[in-house]
Amino acid sequence: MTVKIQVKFFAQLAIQTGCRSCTLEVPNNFYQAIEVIGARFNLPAKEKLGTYYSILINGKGYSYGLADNYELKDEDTLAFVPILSGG
Amino acid sequence: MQWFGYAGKLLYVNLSNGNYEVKELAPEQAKKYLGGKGLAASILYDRLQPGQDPLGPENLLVFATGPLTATLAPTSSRMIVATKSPLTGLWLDSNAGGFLGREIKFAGYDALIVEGKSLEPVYILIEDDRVELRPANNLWGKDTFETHQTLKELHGPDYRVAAIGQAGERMDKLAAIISEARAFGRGGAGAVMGSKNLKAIVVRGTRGINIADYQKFVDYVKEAFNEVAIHPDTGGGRNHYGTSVIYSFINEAGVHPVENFRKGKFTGTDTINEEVLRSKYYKKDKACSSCPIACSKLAKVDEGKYQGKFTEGPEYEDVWSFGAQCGNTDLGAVIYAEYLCDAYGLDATSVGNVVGFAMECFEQGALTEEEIGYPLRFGDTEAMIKTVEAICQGQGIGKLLAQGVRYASEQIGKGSEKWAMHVKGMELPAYDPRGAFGMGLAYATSDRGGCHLRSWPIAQEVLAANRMDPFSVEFKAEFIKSEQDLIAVIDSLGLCLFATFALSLKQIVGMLSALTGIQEFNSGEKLMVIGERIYNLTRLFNLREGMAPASDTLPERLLTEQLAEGPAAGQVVPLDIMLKEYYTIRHWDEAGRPLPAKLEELGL
Repeated sequence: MTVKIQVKFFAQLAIQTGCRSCTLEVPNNFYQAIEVIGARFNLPAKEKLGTYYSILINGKGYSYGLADNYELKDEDTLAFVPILSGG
Repeated sequence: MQWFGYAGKLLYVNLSNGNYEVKELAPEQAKKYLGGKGLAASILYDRLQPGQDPLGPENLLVFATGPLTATLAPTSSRMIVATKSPLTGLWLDSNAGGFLGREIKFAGYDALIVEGKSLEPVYILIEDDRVELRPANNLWGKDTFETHQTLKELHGPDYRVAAIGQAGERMDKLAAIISEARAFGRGGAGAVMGSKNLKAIVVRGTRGINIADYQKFVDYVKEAFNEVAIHPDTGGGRNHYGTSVIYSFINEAGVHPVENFRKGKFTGTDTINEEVLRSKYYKKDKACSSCPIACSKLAKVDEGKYQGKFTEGPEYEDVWSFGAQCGNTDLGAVIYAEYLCDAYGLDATSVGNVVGFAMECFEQGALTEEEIGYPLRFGDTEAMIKTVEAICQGQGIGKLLAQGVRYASEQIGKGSEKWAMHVKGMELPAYDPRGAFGMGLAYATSDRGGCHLRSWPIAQEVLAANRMDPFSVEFKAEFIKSEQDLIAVIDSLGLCLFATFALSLKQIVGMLSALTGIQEFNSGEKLMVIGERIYNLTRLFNLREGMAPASDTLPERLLTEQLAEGPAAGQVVPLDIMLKEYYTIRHWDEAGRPLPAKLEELGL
């Protein structure tokens, strides 16, 4: 099953991917979805998750309370954020 | 005693009688408090009688470097200015990079302590051993850019300058000290300088720094430079975008306060974001002394109403304060507003905060068009700039707003106190703690009031790197306490907080031990005890000044008003439960006073 979601890239990830925001159709499983997005934008998405960048799902960090079989919904927003350590 | 890393001397300048005295740094004082913030806290606690007027001649102004300041260690440009704050009436240390700290150290001093008050405007000239007070009547009334230019033309380009603008001369409580476009911004240190009739300090130092184990120090420094260079933050985004690298992420997470903290997500991000700043406004990168990150940016406006305006920055906090906080979507106006604050010598974070407050007062009817002189609505960029100009020039409504949001709300009344977004009198910066509860505890327990630089748990909470739920109270007290102690160490060493993103405490210990040869600094555990000692000492300072325990709190809005939309919709900060746990972990009693056993353990 697939869902239509909004994908955003922030800071240097926007330069690397050439995209700040777009709508994509991806598998509804979170981890499959980021593999598809990674392939599309040439990002080592799964391997570097948590070390090179993090992801916000509708504004909330991916790794908090996210089950292995977490399912995305239509109109969810996935924001890819480079690792940032402070303001 | 042979000192390594330290200069080993403290310079006391008395403006009342024009005398100065050089005293030896006591080894025990260095071992107990490191330098920088810790050293300044020990000096202020010992020498400043409680209850003094922050703008009276008795108040002290301490410019302090750390042992790592001015060395080869990456980001070691930092120093602090400490005093009793006229904005909060409490402890203040304000930290900046640039080149001033390096010059004070090279002149042979770990700290400059300014006492008393001059009858006429003066500046302090320091050339190694030579210390003079020079007349500054011709500088009084000049802005900080003109003052820098005049003094550099007179003394030479290698002389480093720190000066106040007209806001400091007027003793406005939001006044900053500006040193070559870097600001000792928060808490009103510029007003204290103005109260002493001290327009500037000018320093040239030609001495070096002794290193205990040169080869080991250089090896640690090389490793540290490499770590900073390869880290994705310090070696990537922070260099490219400056501190605004976090802009989009903070907004996406719903913790970017909008219109005086009435909303948590800004819709003006098509024209305000890190990418627009980089591609349209940044003209050049700039680094502080010994810094490979170069997060500072020179920005200029090429077109539109603010064409030709420029600034060093704007920093993330100020993109917020003159952006979302006022509902403004024009980055050109942000740059101009920051330029004005630097020129007149004001804290840009607090100025934007208080303008947003005035906008809410106008929209709620607590301030009228007659009182302000024009309508002042959120989103009205021209009105925002007019108000910033009024604050800078000390005219009209600006005269009141320049005293900070707490004082302004007390004078305005009509219920406006509940729109005054401050903690202990210091205006809140650019994070809404309803979307990251730990940030609320960090604000409430910061030793200088509403500030994000004593602990910044946002990355851990929102990006969940440590799996800290932003909407849970779990682990928050422990994390905030630990980070406050660590940052007290960093602010005492002379390093930039950004270095800690890439460097472990072990690496910092390595550099410090090789530099100073001091056994008491040879482990992270020992440094963290010193950090805890410093944080308890500033707490004691505040309690001695009469700080009520109830002031460890947040503005009512953050405790009772839910955000309507965004990731933090429906949330308020459950502060009480976190605060109780925090006091317990700190070994403070239920009123927030350090327990005798803890003080004894820390040697206080």
